Amino acid sequence: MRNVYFFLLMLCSGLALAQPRIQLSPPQVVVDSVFFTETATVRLELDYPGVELRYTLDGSPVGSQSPVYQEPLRLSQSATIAAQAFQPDFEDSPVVGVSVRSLKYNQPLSVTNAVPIPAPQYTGAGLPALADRQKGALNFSATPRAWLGWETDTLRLQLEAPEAGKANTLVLSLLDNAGAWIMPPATVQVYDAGEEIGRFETAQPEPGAPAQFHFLEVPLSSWSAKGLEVVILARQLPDWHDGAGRPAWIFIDELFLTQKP
Amino acid sequence: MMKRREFLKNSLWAAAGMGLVSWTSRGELVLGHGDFKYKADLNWGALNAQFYPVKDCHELVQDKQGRIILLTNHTHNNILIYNRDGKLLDAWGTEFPGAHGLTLKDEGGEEFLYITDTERHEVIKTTLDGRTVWAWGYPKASGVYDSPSRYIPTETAVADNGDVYIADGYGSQYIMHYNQKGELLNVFGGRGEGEAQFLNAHGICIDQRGQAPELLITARQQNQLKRFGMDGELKGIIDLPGAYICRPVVHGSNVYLATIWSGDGSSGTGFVSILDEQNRLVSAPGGVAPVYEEDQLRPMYQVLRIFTHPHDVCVDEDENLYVAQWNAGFTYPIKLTRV
Repeated sequence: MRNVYFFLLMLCSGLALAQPRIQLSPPQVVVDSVFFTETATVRLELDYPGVELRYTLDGSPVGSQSPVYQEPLRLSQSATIAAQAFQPDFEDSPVVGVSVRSLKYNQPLSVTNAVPIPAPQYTGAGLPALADRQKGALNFSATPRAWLGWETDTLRLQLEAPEAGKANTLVLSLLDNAGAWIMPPATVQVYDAGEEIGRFETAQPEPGAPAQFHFLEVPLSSWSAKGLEVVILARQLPDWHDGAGRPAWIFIDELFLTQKP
Repeated sequence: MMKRREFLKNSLWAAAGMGLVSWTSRGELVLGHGDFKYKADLNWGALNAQFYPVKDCHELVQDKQGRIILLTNHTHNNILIYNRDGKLLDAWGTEFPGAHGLTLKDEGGEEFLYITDTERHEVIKTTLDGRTVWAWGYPKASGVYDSPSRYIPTETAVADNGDVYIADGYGSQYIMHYNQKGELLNVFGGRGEGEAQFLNAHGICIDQRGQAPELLITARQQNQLKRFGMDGELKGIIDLPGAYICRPVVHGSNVYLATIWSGDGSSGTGFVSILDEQNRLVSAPGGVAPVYEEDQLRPMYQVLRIFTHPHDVCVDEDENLYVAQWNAGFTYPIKLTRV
């Protein structure tokens, strides 16, 4: 008799598992300022009955051990927030991620030249937009003045840094949106009067990643010039991509020079 | 035409692939808010794609026989005609590669379709069985177009006097007003952020709810619905923050709007918006419950991934909804049955 109950239980749970389920949408993430000097406030929301939001602050996967969101998060350091929504009647939401960056240790910087110039449809508010501390939106067409876009194999940027040598890291604030043929570049090299002082190579991207912001950090060895050259080599779109073999678009909304502790 | 039995079998297979909602142990999922709640039949319009393929399902209208007419940009069958149960009744149309806007007008007892084609840069009037009555090209007489390429019409609205309004929602953002002979009477709107201008004048319809008819025109990128007099004079703006609305559809005292994206406009974030007689959002199937604070709608976003990119909604006589989607994995329309 007990076996019969057990069998029925198995059958019922098997049926329940066989039902495809509706998925929750990712939580809304509202940040007062992605780039901040003192604090950033991050608000998470998915207003639906029974929904619980959980998050991490180091970009690691969200799980049942992750803290439950109760009230807006006040952050005083750079962080990568990952958030996910849960409700027992629905499939867990996709994870949504957003980064905030402290500018506390930043050095002044301007971008004086770009070769080639940005694509005509993605010129943003010109080169000053790359150092105006204005963050572009994930949906790049919603903030057309913030993002500059290039479709090129090689992009060369000339930087002017009045406080020469006082930063040990160059940060590129990039868009990663494989679906729109936009990917972080494969390699970034930094030169001081022809001498390489920094180089960073990114990992080959995997298919299926959602659109996200990407902060690429290039460690710099000691340097002294007030002018730096940044050479950015585009990622070739990988084999799994519709545009395989062509250079991915490079989208940049900001550059920083920062002194990492 | 496929045999009924074979058709059902094919529908079931399509359903298995699409993720049919049926929570027998938990009751059915109810979508929407207030008086406008629905249960979803994700499988309503599913067909065998080998015989009746679709690309984007762009728009839907209902004729006076009660049939639901779908427009897709697949030139194997640009028009698919269903009954309300989702059974396919007819299919035609091979010459509308950019089939986008579909409007139906009863003209003295005979119904006609107005199709906008974004690749042909034309508006085509047809009979219900697919005979072309006329095809209008780009509005040269307007003086604001020097070639067809910048004229990419997305929608039409036809007045009771036969006048035709055309929204150039993917082109230069003008609204063209013709008489029924095809003579251009007026041009207004145009691209811009001004109150009487548009960023993506995607949809247009005639609103007869008030004392005098008005035009309702979506400014999709601006998350706004704009009201104009029939002479092209701006009457008001309805803000729907976070809602990228495609085409207004007036039914009874309500306006229904397929909402293709929401929130920051990221892909896959659509839902359906329903406005009351005061043009306030009262229900959003698939979206967050609408909340007004000091007469301002809180920004809208999607809460359930029921819809991907709703592009049009058709309302039948029982106030059930049929939702066609753009860029949604070649899926067929979804039915929302009012509960």
